Order: sequence, then structure tokens, then C-alpha cells
Amino acid sequence: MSDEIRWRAHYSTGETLYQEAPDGERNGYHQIDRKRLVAFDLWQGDHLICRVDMRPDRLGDSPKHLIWRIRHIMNDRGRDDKIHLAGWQRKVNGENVQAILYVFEDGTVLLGGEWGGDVEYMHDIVPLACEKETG
Amino acid sequence: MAATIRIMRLTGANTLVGGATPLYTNITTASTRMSTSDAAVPGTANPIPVPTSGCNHSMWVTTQLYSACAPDNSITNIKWYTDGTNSFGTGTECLVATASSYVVATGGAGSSGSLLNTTNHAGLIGAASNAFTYTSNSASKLSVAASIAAATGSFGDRVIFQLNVGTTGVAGTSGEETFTFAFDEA
Repeated sequence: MSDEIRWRAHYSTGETLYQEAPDGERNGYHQIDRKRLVAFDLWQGDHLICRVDMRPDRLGDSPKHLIWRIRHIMNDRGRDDKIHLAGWQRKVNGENVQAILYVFEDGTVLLGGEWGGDVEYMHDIVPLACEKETG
Repeated sequence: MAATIRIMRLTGANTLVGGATPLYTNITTASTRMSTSDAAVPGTANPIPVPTSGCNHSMWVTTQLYSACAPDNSITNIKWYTDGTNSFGTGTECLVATASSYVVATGGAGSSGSLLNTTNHAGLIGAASNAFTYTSNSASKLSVAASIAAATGSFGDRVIFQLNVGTTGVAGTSGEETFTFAFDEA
């Protein structure tokens, strides 16, 4: 698996926004229209690694807020790990709850919940302005 | 394409770019040393002498992240941490602090650097503390303020560390340590 991992955002209207489209057009994460978002994918080449279901549901106190990051972990010994975080955050019974997939470059995928603990890559994120939008 | 980020060591005052700007040296894949000089690549020259009383300090080492290939949106949430165990050797202590501005390391080459504190370094954000209290545990990482948008160049506060050697220090080459940066790209 040598291709870079890239996202695709699927809309309720049937359209797809590509991080990097087949014609080379590039789009930024902040350009995703959260109001129409129904699914968020991570692809490596032509292989779908994971899909985050963003359709509205009856659960929780609030809609899902999409979260995606590339978490870099690097040092001066040549380590340069890139872990993709993809998932959502919402309120449930007044509490912030998140479901995050941690996608490693070798294709390993782990599902995490609460931020924190003694796992190196599981600290919290800083929310971006675009992530306050929901469908 | 994911952003290309480098870890830079900042030294001296680069007269080629105005005098007050440090020289940025890429240490992403090149281990660096703490010594009693402010050289970008100090090698084994100017080691920290083991004192007969008190404590000698390395000159403080200033590091900062640098965006060589810009992110699409931003880089935020910078963290810094160690493995939690001081392997530099007996009689040593490593201090760390973050700083919002650059201050050239001072002290006597070959003898001792100035102590890393808010008196000697006006840019420090709070007092320096034991570097090994910052670990990969989620709650124990050192938070580094500031971020960068879709741009290239240096970003984030500087992370500054210093090795102190007391009278129980052992002469010779010290052990090695790895300091890690983590940050989020979007």
C-alpha cells in the first residue's frame, strides 16, 4: 500500500467531492458541504479503507459533526508517521461523544471513542470552524 | 498530498537575513546534540563539563516546526513529549519550556550556558520544567501554542530544552534521547 490516503465526501444529491479528483482538481477539507454530507470515505488508490456514515439518525442530542485529520507523529530520528482520523462528534445526554477511526498507512484501522488514555495517537483535537456545521 | 513538515533547530543570529533572525537547520533526520555552544551542528565539541560544585548547563536548544509543503487547510494542536525516562545519565536533568519568541542562547562556550528561565529568556511561556514529565500519555503531552494556515514557513511556538549536569555527572558521552512532535493537519 504505497498510495497516499485521500478522502471523498458523498452528498445526498448524489455528488462526490474529492480531495483529489481523477482530473487532478484538489479540494480542501473546509470545502465539504456539511449540510448535504451523507458519507465520508478514506481511499488508498482504488481501495476503500473505511466509510463514515453521516446520515441523520434518531440518536443523540445533536447531529454528527464530521472530524478528519492527518495526525503527524515525528521526531529527529526519521520517524514520520501519518495517522488519518475520521469520524464524528455529537452530544449524547449532554456529553460530547465521538467515534473515530484511526487509519494507519499500512492499512490498519482502529476504532476509538473517548479521547485520551495512554495511547500515543489518541489525544484530543482542536475543532475547526468548518466542523461546527452539520446536516 | 500531505503537508511536508520539518523539525528545525534555531541558532545564532543570521546576518544574511537581517541580524535578528535565527539560522534554521533541518534536524528532521539528523540527531542533534546539546553542548556549551550555540552551533547549528555542534558535534562533540564543547561538551558540558561536570562541575565540582553546583550545576553546568548546556546552551539552550531552540526547535520549531517548519512547513516545507503547505497543508490544504491548517496545522493545529501541536504537542511535544518524551519517553518519560531520563537516559542522558547519572547527575543530569533536562529542562523544557515553550517560547513565543526566539532568544539567542547565551553563556560561556566550553563552560556553561545560561540557565533556561524567564529571566534569561524573555520569550518563555512560564518556567522551564523537567522534560521527562511530558510523555505520550494523552494528558501528559506538552501543548505548544499557535498554528499555521495553508502556508509554508516556520510555525508554532518554539520548544526549548537544556541539559543540566550536576556534580554526580559522569564524564564521557551521555545516553541518547528522542523527543517527539505530534500535530494535526486538515
